[in-house]
Formats: sequence, structure tokens, C-alpha cells
Amino acid sequence: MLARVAQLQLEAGLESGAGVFARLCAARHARFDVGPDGWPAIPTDAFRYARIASFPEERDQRVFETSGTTNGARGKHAFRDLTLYEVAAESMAARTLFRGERARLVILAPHPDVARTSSLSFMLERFTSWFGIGEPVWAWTERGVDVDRVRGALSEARERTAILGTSFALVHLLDALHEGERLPLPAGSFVMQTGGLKGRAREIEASELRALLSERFVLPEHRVVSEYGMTELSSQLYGDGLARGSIHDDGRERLVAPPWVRVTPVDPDTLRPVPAGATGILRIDDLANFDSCVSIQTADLGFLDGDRVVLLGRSPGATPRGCSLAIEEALEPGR
Amino acid sequence: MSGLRGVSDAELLAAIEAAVAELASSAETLGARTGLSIEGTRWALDTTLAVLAPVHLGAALEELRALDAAPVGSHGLVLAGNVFTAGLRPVVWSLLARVPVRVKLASSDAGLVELFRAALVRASPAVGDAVSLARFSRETPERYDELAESVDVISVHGSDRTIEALRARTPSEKVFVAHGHGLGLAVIARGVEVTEALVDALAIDVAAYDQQGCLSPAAVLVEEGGVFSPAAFAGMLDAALVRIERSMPRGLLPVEVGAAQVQWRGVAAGLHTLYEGVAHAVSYEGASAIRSSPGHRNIAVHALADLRKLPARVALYGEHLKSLGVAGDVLVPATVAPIVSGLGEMQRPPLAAYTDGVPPWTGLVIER
Repeated sequence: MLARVAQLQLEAGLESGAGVFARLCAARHARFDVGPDGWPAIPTDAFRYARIASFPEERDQRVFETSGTTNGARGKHAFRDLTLYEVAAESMAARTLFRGERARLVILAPHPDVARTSSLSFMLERFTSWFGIGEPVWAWTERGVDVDRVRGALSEARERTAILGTSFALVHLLDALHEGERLPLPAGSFVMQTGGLKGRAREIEASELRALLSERFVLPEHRVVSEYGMTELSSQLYGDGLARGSIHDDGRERLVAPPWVRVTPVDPDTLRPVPAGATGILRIDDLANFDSCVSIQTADLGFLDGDRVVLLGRSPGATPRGCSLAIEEALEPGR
Repeated sequence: MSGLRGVSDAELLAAIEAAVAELASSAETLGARTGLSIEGTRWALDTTLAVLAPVHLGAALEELRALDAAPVGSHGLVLAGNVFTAGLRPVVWSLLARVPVRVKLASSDAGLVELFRAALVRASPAVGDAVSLARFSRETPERYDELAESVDVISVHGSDRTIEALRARTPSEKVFVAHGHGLGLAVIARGVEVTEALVDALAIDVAAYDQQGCLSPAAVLVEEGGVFSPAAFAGMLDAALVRIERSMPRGLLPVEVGAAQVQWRGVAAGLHTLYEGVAHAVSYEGASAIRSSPGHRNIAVHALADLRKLPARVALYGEHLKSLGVAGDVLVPATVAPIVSGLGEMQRPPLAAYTDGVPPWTGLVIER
């Protein structure tokens, strides 16, 4: 199935004459008869430089954009129909997060009315109708987290509550709470955090953030789970804490991929899968990426533990050995 | 007069010469700490030490004498995130200017300055003792404060962020000399005869330090209208990088650099023309804007319609343009101050080369 969809996308690119995937396949001598390792994955950066879509622009229904920029450009992912995106998002969140029960939603991310190009805001807004109880609380403003609104919402909470937010918004919330302040959540509640800190909040280890959130919201640590998604994908991966009922002995969260997603850590030089358990750069084949490209090469590091994914992040802060400067840094104003 | 000031020119030069001779065989000692292959480490060491040959040291002393200047009392040198040989030149200039130097080593330092100091002590304790070493992390800024307080001039190598943070902590009466990170570009004029030797020379510039230095070329601009098109030049550079991989293989590819490489090469293959080798890649990207290369021998070739457009193109990089490797007549715009050299020489500037537009003795002496 994956090979067939990839081939269809290749053919669509050949027809339009501007297919990045088609060019990539030609350059990398793609074969579709030897399994997914036979064809290349489109790097996420390509979404910043070119349109990656198997349909013409006039049929765009929605275009999601990345939050970060490279060379002043944001990555763009166009959709002509969001049905598949919605089915994928609802199905996976129902299985791994909400698990058959609705919850009162407190959302620490921009509302889609003010962040129309954010895929996360779109998904969270859909969560409110799929999984929410009563009116959702959108507690992120352009000035940051509305802490009083969060306090108010949580002090009234009698029902299962889900706090859904970006990692940097959650760090802002933690920093804004009084020392020792606790906001206990009702039984069955959970916190879903997503995204890196990207220099927008103080740097904090994922396990430390989980422990702090667990302490403030008086939740077992396994009820703080991560969502892993990106603009260039149509599916999401989630931490397995809620299903498992405990955190892993090594403290590292394992992510569960939907059955229609395949995650493969690859070697950066050969792009071949690394040996089992070894760290590689994550390639993600997502069948829900039907209208762009099913095979996406991320810049994220990770490894597989059985059928689970351990995400190691992007290491942007790794100490460089040399003194060379990135072009973007050289061009950054005020530097 | 005692210490470094009491040492004769002959003793000073002899001590440096002896220490340099000892370092010549230190590639194996440094080993994997440089991140380069053993051949890459040897190349970097050989070319750096060649610049410290007696003839160059003597000429440098002459230059200092001609200034009719007095040395300052002491020098603090902060090294951060540099290529492994970067500390040697500023230490040697400090010694030549007769200014004792306290060196703060980078956390990732490979150990070359340490070896140099030990060799100097063996050759001449008076010279070796004029170099002291310290290691401390950015989590202990009070250690930097102590260093800055104790010296007359402080030179800081590092990222813009590091430099600005340390500049803000430095007492205003101290002389602060900044050497920020940067990048290099190579430019080929249309009238140049493009030979295999010329392309091999450029391949050395790319392969040296695995393209991690601030003098390393981040991209190549080839003027259109020559015998070889910019696209053809990209193919020739690919072949040259294949050749150099045999004699000077690439070193370790850190996994986080690998992640950036996968993105860079993928974009090149999908949108441009990519030549991919075992441990290098060349992307021909026409007149597109220059993208960031992850280094480690991943380089883009761009077409330049007319050399007269070069000033506007490179002016964007301002003080961050540290090196310009040129083939042919290339006019360097006054708004930038890179080290200009021929191809094959980008990574081995002369001892007296100005960096960031200032001479290497800046801050070490006060003209009378």
C-alpha cells in the first residue's frame, strides 16, 4: 500500500513537471518493488523551499505552516481535503489519550482563529468537539499563558480534565505559578505536552518537565504524555504512559505510532535503516500524507525499542567543534 | 627584568621552535579528540605548524619591533568552539609581544594548547610559564570575571552570543578583542583556466577541518561565461572531493550534524542537482540563495552572472565573512574584511594575516 501511494505521488509530480519527490526519486534511483527502503523520503526542509503536493494550488483547502523559519521561509503543507487528517487525528487520540472517555479541555496553545496556519491549533480545536466536555478553556494569549484563567478553570474542575499544550507554554505556566502552588486535577486527568522549547522558554529536560507537571497538577508521572507531530505529517505519535499505567524504568518516554505510520531510524550517510536499537535520524512513512508525500525524512534523532519510538530530539544546542557559522546566523539582523 | 620580558629573542624563538617540533608528531596523541580523521588531523597540524616556522616567527618579531610599541601587562584568551589548532596563533603572538597569556580552554578542546605549553616549559621554563591554562564552564561566569579582572586585554573567540555575554561582563577599562564565528566563500572568475589542480586546491579548502572552520568555504560562486559552466564545475569539484577522500578521509560525523546533512542533501536532490559521494556531497544550485551547509564536506556551487554583483552578494555577511578564496581578479568590497587568499590556501593564512580586519597583535601592545 505504502509503495503504491508513493508511486502515485511520484506520478503526480511527473505530470506536473515540478515534482520534488519525482526529482528526489530520480536522483536516488528509487525502486518501489523492494520495500520502503527502496525509495527516498522527502526532507522536512523541502517544505520550506518548494510546494510538496500532488494537486494544483487552486484546490488548496487549508495550508498549515511551520512555526520556525529557514532563510526567512516557513515550511508549508497544503491539503485539498482534511477528512483523512481528521480521521487519523481522532482515531489515534481516542486510542492513546482519551481512551473512550471525554474530558474537560484546558488548552495552552493559540486558538485557530488567531493561528489559522497552525496544524496543532487546528487539531486541538477538533479535539474540543470529539473529546471535550462543556466549553473548552483556551488559556494562551498573545502575551503568554493566562494563568488566572488556568487557575479558575482548574479550581472548578470536578470532571476528568485534560491540559493540552505546547512545552514552552507549560514551562511559562510553571514559571508563573507561586512557589509551592498546586492545581490538583480530578481522577483520570492527564497532561499532553507537545513540541520543543525552541529557545522560547528556559531549557528543561523532558523528564524534568514531566516531573514538575506531575507535581504541580498532583498527577502520577505517567499521566503526563507527549505528542509528537509536525506540520509536514498528517499523523501523530503519543507517549504510551496512559496505556501502560507507569513510566519506563529508564525514565524515557516511548512513543506509539499509529498502525498506518512506520518510523525508521536511518544512517545519515547511507539513509539505510540503522541496526535494531541504534540511534538514527527518523524517517517517517505516514499513509495519511496522501496528498503530499507519504515518506518524510525528519531531522529528529531517535531509536526503536520494539515497536515503540524513543525520541532524542534535535540536539540544536550541541557544542560545535568548529567555528563555522550558519548562513542564517550570518544574515540574522542585529548580530 | 624577569620572566618573559627577561628572555632574549633568540631564547624565545628557540623555545617556540622546539615546542613546534614536538607538536609535529602529536596527531596520534590528539587522536579522535579533534573529530577529524588521523590524516585530517595531520594536515591541520602540518599546515598550522608550517606557519610557525622560524622564518615567519622572525618576521613577526620584526613587525612588532617596527611598531615601536610597549607590551601590555597580561592577556586573557578565551577559546570556545574553535577548530583544534585555533589557539596556537594567539598564544604565539602573545609570547612574541612578550605578554603573558592566561588561556581559558573550550570544553571541547582537543588538547593542542596544553601540549604546546608543556613543550614550551620543557624548552624554556621562563617562556612556558608565561602561558597558563584554565578550564571552566559557562555555568561559572564568576571564573570569567576573575580572568577579565586579572588581565589588561582579553581576546574572546566564540559565537556572537558568547562574545556579547562576555563583553557585557568585562570591566570597561579592559581592552576587549572579539573574534566571532564566521564563514568563507570561494569565488571563481570567468577568465580563470579551470584545471584539475585548481579544483583539487579548492577541494582541500573544503576538506580541511571537515569544513568546520570559520575560514572554510560555505559555498562556491562560479562566474558564468567561462569555459566550464558553473554546473560543470560542480561535477569537477565532486570528482576532486572523491580524490581527496582517499588521501584525507572525512572524520566522524556527529549524529546531530548527520541530521542536518540528511536535510541539506535531500533538498539538494529534490530541488537542485546533487553529486553524492561516500563522505561528501556537492549540490549545484544555480542562482538560488545560498543555504546553510552542515559542513563536513557538503558544499553548494552557485552561478554568479557577473562578478560585479559579488559585492552586493557578500556584503550581506558583513563581519561574519572571514575568508574569501579567489581564483582570478576578484574585487573585495570595502564593507567586508575577510582574509583573501588563493584556492588551496583558505585554511592556512600567513602568521601576520589580519583577522576581522585587525592585526593579530591588537590589544597586546600600546604604541609609544
